[in-house]
Order: sequence, then structure tokens, then C-alpha cells
Amino acid sequence: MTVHIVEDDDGVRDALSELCRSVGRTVQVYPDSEAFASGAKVEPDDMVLVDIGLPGEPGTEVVRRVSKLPMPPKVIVISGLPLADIHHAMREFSNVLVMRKPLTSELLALLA
Amino acid sequence: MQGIRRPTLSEARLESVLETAPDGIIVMDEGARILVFNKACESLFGYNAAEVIGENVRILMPQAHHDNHDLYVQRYRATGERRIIGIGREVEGRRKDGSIFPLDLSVGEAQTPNGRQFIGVIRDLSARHETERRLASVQADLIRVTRVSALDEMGSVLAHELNQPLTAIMLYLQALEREVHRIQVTHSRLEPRASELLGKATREAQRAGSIIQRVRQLVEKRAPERKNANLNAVVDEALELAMLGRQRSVYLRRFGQMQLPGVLIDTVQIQQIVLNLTRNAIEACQREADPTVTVTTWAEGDIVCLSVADNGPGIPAERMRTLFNAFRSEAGTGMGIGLTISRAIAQNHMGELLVDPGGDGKGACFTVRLPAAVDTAAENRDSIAAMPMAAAAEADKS
Ligand SMILES: Nc1ncnc2c1ncn2[C@@H]1O[C@H](COP(=O)(O)OP(=O)(O)OP(=O)(O)O)[C@@H](O)[C@H]1O
Ligand SMILES: [Mg+2]
Repeated sequence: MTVHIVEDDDGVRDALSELCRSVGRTVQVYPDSEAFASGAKVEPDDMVLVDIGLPGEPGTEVVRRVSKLPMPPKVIVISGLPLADIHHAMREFSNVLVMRKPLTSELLALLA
Repeated sequence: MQGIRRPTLSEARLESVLETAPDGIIVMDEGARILVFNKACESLFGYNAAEVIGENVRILMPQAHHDNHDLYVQRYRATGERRIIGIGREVEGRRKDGSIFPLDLSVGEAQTPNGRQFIGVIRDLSARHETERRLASVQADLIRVTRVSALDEMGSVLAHELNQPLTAIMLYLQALEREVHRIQVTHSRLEPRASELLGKATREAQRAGSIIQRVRQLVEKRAPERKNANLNAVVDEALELAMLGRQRSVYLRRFGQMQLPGVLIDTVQIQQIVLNLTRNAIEACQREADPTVTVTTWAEGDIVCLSVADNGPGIPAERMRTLFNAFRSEAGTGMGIGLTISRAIAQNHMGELLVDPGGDGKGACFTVRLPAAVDTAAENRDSIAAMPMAAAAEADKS
């Protein structure tokens, strides 16, 4: 299974992929939601990690796109936005896991 | 009214002209006695012409100026020194009901067969004063509000900017821990020092994380306020403020599409974006021969857009990569937080802030795109028939 990482911050994106690789995952990275839309090949047992605040289309577009797949993979939203803004952004997605930055070891648990 | 002659024919003709003039016109003789008091004056001062003709012009002034006026007239007659004649100035008038109002008075002088006469042209300034007062109070409000929200934004921008590298550090530490663990397992060799140091580093990173968390909690106490608003009105009000006192230094062009769909926004925050972008645009084009800032609003399907363009030099390619990063402004200019905050606000509204850097004789153009409110009530639509696309409402450029 592959972890797809959609994150605009270079440091965070690289660190996320390092961590995923350290637990033996293959990784695909995308700097924005448009790159994901045009380049991602997502399998049902993949995982998508997406930041909400992206330049251009917001990360919620990625969530929307993925959730429309016939067999949607697991999606984890990561965000450094204030809580109220996260709630506002995610109001139409009830079942998506959101993790706030900085990420602690919860992520590792999910990847294992 | 003794001492006043019957008007001659030419005076009668003159009077009919005076009666239709939009400005108040008063003619007085050398003794400051009122000879002519036109229709416009009647509505300005609340007196009928019959009540004031032959009276000293002082009755149209506040008590406090009476003595002064006598002095002015005497001095002018004695010395010919002009304080107001041919110059015009802002003075106070007094209505019949005793109320005082500001007026613009220009005085001309004419030699007539009946001696020297003075002609005063009067324009009521109360309306203008009222607008100025209102503008000043709106400005004070906005400065206060933006200062508070600037602090908030600053806090959240700082927290966010620090949070990103900290997130990366914590992830790297976790990856490193995995790596150390892997080495220990594969080489069945214990690395106690490495594990210990890693543990310390992780704890410190977590400490930094909790500080950021505290800052964030402080900032988040202020719940975001979202109102269904008309972007045109919000933008116009912000522009009014951005242009205060600048009318003469830049040319502001405003294009607005009528009937924009409503947007669900925190108006103060969106106005802060407009202020930031306009301020940047003005700074960028200041040195042009014909500095021009163009602000446009339009709708694209269910996205409502706002752009601020200028005719400055544009943004160099090497500047573009870090344009939206905080505190990277060129030395000597601002803090370099305007664009960071603006983009954060746009994103918090589920919108975006895009930039066309321009260059090659084209200025930069920033565009804010906001999702239209789902349920647009009719009252939130622009009902004013003014401002069709392409018909510019222009700030005066004198
Ligand atoms: N319209 C523009 N044309 C050219 N350069 C621009 C334009 N707008 C912004 N810039 C560049 O981007 C930089 C960052 O802008 P930003 O608004 O973030 O900060 P600032 O204006 O320097 O400071 P402040 O925090 O006071 O707003 C500016 O210093 C300027 O170099
Ligand atoms: Mg600025």
C-alpha cells in the first residue's frame, strides 16, 4: 500500500514521507491539490494524508475527490489551522480523521 | 427699511438670476447692510429676504463673531487689507433658529454708482463635515478593530509559521527513533546513548509544541464571525479608508459587477485583505508617472472574486517563492506579514489568494476568490444600479 501525501510545506512533506518510509511504506508526494488531481493513482488500501491549507484548491477538495471513489481509501486530514476553522472547513465531512499539527506519535500508530 | 431705494431694471434682472442660483448669495453695502438675500440663502439661514434686507449682516453670524466682523469691515475700509475678500474661507453661519453651521464663504467687491458693495457667495458645508466626521469615526473603528484582529492574526500566523518546522522536527525525530530501533534490531546492538538523546530531543520539541498550543488557544478564544455580506459594499468601505488622504497621489479605478452573490465572511478580516493589497499596490506604483490601482469585483459561477492590480514594476521571479512567507519583506519596507495574513484569512474562508506577478511593464495583480454563500438572500444582492462592469466609479484625481 502507498501513502499519498498532499502538503505544500517542503519540510513537513519531506518529514512525513521519511516517517512513512521508516515504517516500510511507499510514498507519493504532491505539493498541492491540483497535482494530486492530475497525478495520483489511488488504490482502495492506500492512505491519503492531506493538509487543509494549500495554495490553490483547498485540501478539502482532495477529501471530496477521494470520497467519491467507488472504494475510497483511508483519508487523514492534517492541519495547523485554528480549531474553529478546521470545524468550518470539515463541516460536510463527518467521518474523516483530523490530526492537528504538530503531529505526535498518533500518526505512527495509524501507519503501523 | 428706510434708506433702501427701489431696484432699478438691471438690478431686477440681476435679482432674477440670483434667485435661481444654487449657492447662497448676499450683497451688502459698505455699512455691512444686506441689500440682496437670494432664495438659496433663505433656505440656508431660515430667514425670508424681507426679514433681513437692510439689517447688518452680523445677524447671520454667531454672536461671538459680531464684534470681529465690525472690526474686519472697519479695517478693510481703513487699510484695504484683505482678509477674506477675493480669498474665501470656511466660516460659521447662524440660522434664524440660532443653530450654527459651517459654510464656505467667498467675498467679491464691486464699485457701483451707489458706492462700494460686497458680494458673498455661500456654500453649506454641514453635509461635507458630516461625511468627514463619519469617515473619521469609521476609520478610528477600523484601526481599533484591525489592531485587535492584527494581533490575533499575528499570533496565529506566528503559531502557524513555527508550527510547520516544529511538525517537521517531530516527524523527523520519530523517523530517527524508528531508524535507531531498526539498527538495534538488525545488528542486535544496543544504542542507549542514542535513545536517551532522542528522548530528550523529543521532549523539548513537545515543550515547544505546547507553547504554540497555548498561543493558539489564546487566539482561538475569538470565534470566527461569519455574516452574509455583499462583497462590493465591503470592498468599497475598505477602499474609502485605504484612499483617505491619498486621493491626490494615486488614481483609483473601481470596476464592480452588479448583483454579486453574497459571501459568508468576517467583514473586518476581508477588509483587512483589501487594505493590505491596496497598500502594497499603492507602494508598488508610487514612483510611476501615472500611478494607478485598479480594484475589480466579479463572480465566476459560485465563486466571488476580487482583484487588486497596479501599474508598478511587478514582482521579480526570485521574490515569488517566498512571497507569502512571513517576515521576509525587503529591508526597510513593512513587516512583511501583510500577504501572509491575507492568504491565511482567505484560506480560513475556504477561499484562496492568488498572484499574477506581472513584470515586463505589467504590474502585479492579486486575486481573492471566495465561495459564494449557499443560500443567497435577495437583500444581500447589490440593489444599486450604479457600478456596472466597465463603468468605473473613480475616485477624483485632481
Ligand atoms: N503589488 C505589488 N507589486 C510589487 N511587489 C509587491 C506587491 N505586493 C507585495 N509586494 C512585495 O511583497 C512583499 C511582501 O508584502 P507584504 O504585504 O507581505 O509585506 P509588506 O508590505 O512589506 O509589509 P506589511 O507587513 O506592512 O504589509 C512586499 O514587501 C513587496 O516587496
Ligand atoms: Mg503589505
